[in-house]
Amino acid sequence: MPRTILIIDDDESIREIAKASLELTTGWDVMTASSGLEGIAAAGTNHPDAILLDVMMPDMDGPAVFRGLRGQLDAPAIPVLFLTAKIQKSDLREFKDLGVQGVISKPFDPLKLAGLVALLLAWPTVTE
Amino acid sequence: MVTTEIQTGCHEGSAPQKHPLRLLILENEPADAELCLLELRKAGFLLQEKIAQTRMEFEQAISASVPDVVLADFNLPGWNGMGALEVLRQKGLDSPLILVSGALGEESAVDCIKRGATDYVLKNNLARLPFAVERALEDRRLRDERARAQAALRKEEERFRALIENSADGIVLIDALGSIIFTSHANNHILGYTAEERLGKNIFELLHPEDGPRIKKVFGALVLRPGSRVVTEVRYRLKTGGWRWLECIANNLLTDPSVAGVVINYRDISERKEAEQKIRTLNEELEQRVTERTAQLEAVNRDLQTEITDRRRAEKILQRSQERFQLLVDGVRDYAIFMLDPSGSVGSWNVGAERMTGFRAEEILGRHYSCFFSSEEVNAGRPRQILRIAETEGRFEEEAWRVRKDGTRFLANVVATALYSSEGRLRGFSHITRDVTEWSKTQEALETLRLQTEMILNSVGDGICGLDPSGHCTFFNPTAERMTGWKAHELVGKDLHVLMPHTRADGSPYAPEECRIRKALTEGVTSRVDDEMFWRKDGTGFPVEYISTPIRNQQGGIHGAVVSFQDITERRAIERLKDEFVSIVGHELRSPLTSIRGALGLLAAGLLAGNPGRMQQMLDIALKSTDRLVRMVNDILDLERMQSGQVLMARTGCDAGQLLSQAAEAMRMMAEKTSIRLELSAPSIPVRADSDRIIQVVTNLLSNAIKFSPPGAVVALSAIQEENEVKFGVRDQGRGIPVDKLETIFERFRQVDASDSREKGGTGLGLAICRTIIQQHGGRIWVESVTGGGSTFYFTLPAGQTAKPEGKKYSAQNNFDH
Repeated sequence: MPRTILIIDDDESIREIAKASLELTTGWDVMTASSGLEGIAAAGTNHPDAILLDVMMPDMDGPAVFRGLRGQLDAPAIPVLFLTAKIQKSDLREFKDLGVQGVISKPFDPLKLAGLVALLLAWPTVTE
Repeated sequence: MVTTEIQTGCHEGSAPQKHPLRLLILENEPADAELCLLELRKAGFLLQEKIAQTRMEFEQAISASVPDVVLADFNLPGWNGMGALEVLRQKGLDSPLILVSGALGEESAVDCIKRGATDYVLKNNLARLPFAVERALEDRRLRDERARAQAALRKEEERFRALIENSADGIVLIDALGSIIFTSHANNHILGYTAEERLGKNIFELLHPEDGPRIKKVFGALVLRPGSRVVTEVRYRLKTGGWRWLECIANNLLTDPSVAGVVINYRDISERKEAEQKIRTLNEELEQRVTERTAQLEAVNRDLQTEITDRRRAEKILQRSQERFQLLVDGVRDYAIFMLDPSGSVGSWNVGAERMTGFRAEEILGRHYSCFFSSEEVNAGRPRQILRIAETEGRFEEEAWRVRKDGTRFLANVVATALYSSEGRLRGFSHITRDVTEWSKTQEALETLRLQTEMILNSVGDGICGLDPSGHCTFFNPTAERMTGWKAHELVGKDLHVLMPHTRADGSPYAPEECRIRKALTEGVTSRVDDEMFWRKDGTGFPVEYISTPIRNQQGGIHGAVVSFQDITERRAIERLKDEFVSIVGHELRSPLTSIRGALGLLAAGLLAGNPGRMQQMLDIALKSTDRLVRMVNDILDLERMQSGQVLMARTGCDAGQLLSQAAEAMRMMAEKTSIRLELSAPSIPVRADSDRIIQVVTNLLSNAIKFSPPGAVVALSAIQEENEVKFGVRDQGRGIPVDKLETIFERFRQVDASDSREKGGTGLGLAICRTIIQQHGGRIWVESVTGGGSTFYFTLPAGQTAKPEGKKYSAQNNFDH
């Protein structure tokens, strides 16, 4: 079973780029959601192995979605990585306190995105 | 009566008669009278006779002249010779009377002689008559002589007695045993006794007991030597009691038969004695006083000597002191010190005076000091007025202009002091002058500096507080007062820490010893702090940034600190906003960059070589994101330039309707794409505006309206004049804007829905730009909306009547804030 990844981002272009990056460099299945609510629903339905979550989104921002995910899912918690341009020190501290597995900054190298995800989640290889 | 004068020769044997004998014959028988005359003339008597025959004639005769001899007949008719004798004696005449009688018995004759008749002669024996007359005359002569001698003796005795009785001295006569034989003064005014009380008494019994023995001895010696004399003083008892001092001179006249006693003259010398006693006492006192006075004088003399020595020493010291003082005065260069006599003439001069005024001593001494005054002041009597004030008040001081020898002026601080002699007489004035021209300038500069400093401190935006070494407030500027609510007078003298930084931001107490303000005082370090709170008088706090700097004196010691502080509440808020803005901008810029970077990365890696569809998709993404990035960068720069004033609105006279139709024309294509109908209600209204910028605003608003309106909807554009401004409107039929966002949508990146802008190709800056442009025109922009019922964006521009004063009006509206 290939690993499944859920990308939640309100920016369509980024969703497409991230999806293409992961699909072209790994064998992972990549799903996308354009809002927090949509993402939470998709996560509940599809139980992806990991979620790449944008932070600055209208209505529900990244942390709100994260808390939503944690509140909804029983066990085990799906690992969440923030994929964000909000990477000031205070932001990173806040994210860490929140309990996210990692943060990947925008803009990202599409060829290295999968590798970063695997590294942050301690997956043996990206091709796995 | 018959008077016959018969010159007769002298009687033989008798002395010749020089004067005729005045003879009165009382005889009633003229013949008998003639016989008597005859007998007498025979005897040689020169006679001047009168013959009286009766008593009457006898009395007449003796009244007319006193007869030397009277011859009287013993028997006369009715009278007799003895009666004539009586008449004669009654008349006080002692003329001898010889009775001539015819017959007189022996017994009668003796009786007559006993009764005073001088003799008798019988008529029958007239021859005896001359003899009888002669004897009568002789008797008479002898009797007269004796009477004269007795009278002389009596007179002598009276004189002597008067002398004795009236003498101030007393005289007493005593016998050899001391018994008093005689004492002068019937009433002794010296001792008070009468003569009767003393006669026969012993003189020694009233002697003073102390004198008795001495006097008896003296008297004993005196008595033994007749003719000797002794003088002594003795005290004698008065009758009234008490004692008198008597001086006695005793003469032993015991052997002088006429005296046969000791005569003592005495007089009262009590007063003299008393006076002597007094004099003696006085002398003694005087002597005593002389002795004392001499001692005093000697003491005084000694003191005087000491004083003289001291004074000489003091004088020497004084002289040295005066010399030194003179040297001092002469040497003082910065003060003009000189003396004036009471009239104001200069009496002394020092170096400082010469230096200050330019006058040399020889030029100025004796001149009136009015030469230091301007002629106006001299004319106004100022120099004399100053001396008058100094004289009446003792001292005069002023700061005023004076004149030098060369006519230049200098600002002088002058002190004139009146000098008085010890008797209070005005001797002159001391006059001390200091040239304060430079000093005054310095003072002025200092004052200016002080005012500047004060002005700076009062006008700076920072709160400034001065502290003394113990941390007590010494100064608190108005800004500090405004920030804290404390008044300077409430804080000065109080511990600043206790009143202002006392509690930390988290509410925990802030110990004074930890206070970083104090480090300036305790360690001399400057502290810059921006994470503390100051607390206002009303108990509220504010975040503060302060710098506490030590104030050091010239020796490097710390004698205080200055704390300058700012209320950073607003800065904190701005910083938060800025952080947020940076974060948003970062996000908004990074998003398209992320897409571009990703798309290009994938294309470049060649991973899409076999997938032309996906390759195209990536190229589209990259292109779209690049456009967006360009727009966003443009908008951001545009906004920044406008807000920083780098872009000026090029206002010209325009027509509101025209502006709206130009914008509508520009957006017609976009509207047609989504079947949106643009309605234009655009009358011709003049406005002054930068037409390009206003078209930009309207286009932006139209773009939003078209984007958010459902297909087939109407977007209406309008412009109407309202008083001095023109109101533009863009109405859509979109979903409306929530009430809480009606204002925030005009801020940067505060679109109602961020995803909208990306979907609709916006940057999130459009409305912010619109607002900036309108504000730069002096207009307002706002939105009215009903959720689900569409929105209308309005903005105003000042009406463009040709002669409208612009700047003022625009600037007045620049502060507009909706």
